[in-house]
Amino acid sequence: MGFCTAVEHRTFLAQAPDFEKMLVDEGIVLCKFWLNIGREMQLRRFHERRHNPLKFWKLSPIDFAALAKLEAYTIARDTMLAATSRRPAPWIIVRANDKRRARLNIIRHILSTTDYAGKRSQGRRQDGSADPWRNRAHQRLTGAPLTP
Amino acid sequence: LAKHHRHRKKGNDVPPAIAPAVDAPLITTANGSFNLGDPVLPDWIERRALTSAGFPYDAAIADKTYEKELTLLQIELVKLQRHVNQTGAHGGGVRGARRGRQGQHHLRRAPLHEPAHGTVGGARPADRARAGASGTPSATRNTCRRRGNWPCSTDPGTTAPASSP
Repeated sequence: MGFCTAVEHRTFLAQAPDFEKMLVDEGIVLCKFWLNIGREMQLRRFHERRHNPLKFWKLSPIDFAALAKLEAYTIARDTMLAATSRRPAPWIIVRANDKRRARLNIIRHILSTTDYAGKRSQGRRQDGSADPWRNRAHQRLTGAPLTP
Repeated sequence: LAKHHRHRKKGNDVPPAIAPAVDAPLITTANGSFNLGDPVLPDWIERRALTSAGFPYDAAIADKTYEKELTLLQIELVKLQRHVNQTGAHGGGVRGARRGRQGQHHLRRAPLHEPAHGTVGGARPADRARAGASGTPSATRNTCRRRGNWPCSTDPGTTAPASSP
């Protein structure tokens, strides 16, 4: 699309993980969510934005130009995900065809990777048994097992 | 029927969408073609939209379920916010876990220059929590977020350097 040169693109992808590590080392909780939608859902949302006067403001000329470049965008997305999904700030892919489910899942993710006072579930289900899924997610993200 | 059409029926005056200066290109896929300018959404898109890209549900979440889940999660978010406000913790479990693995590297970090007004930042969040000083004002916390890793006099176990290294 001509936003930057190929060299700039490569440089950015190489630097991003280091930069993100610096942020996390400073104590910042960094969550990177990639909201992924399917092609048909994308076209449906485009259509809604084009024909609904209440949503038309969301469209820009860039969107029109990008509409037919699915393959180029897919390649760029995969390159970016492969290059920048590193500990301690991996990408979290959110299936976002249903906006409201995506919203719930993002909140759940943030809560599940953070410990705070009075937490409803400390790696355990409501009945008190251990929840291996949450433990696994925690270990993948932090590199350390969860100790409830 | 789209929401704005329903409102229009009730007599609300919604201005029509502005026609774009450039026509969008015709999209052709294995399942059918799509013209953005056509106000009628093709059936194949409507049918496949929600389940595209491997989405595991074929219906949007029910309003009732969504509201119920959202309320429960918002309660947890408020707990988290209160926890952050009271302890000044901004790393939570992530930071705690990292500390064990990577050692106390932040204790060794020295300031680039000595602050003009002496000690700044105060103790690190974990130290405050250990000391039981929970009611930290947020202003101090924000200072800590930038400079809290500096060793300082109120930080047990470390001493502030007399001058810049």
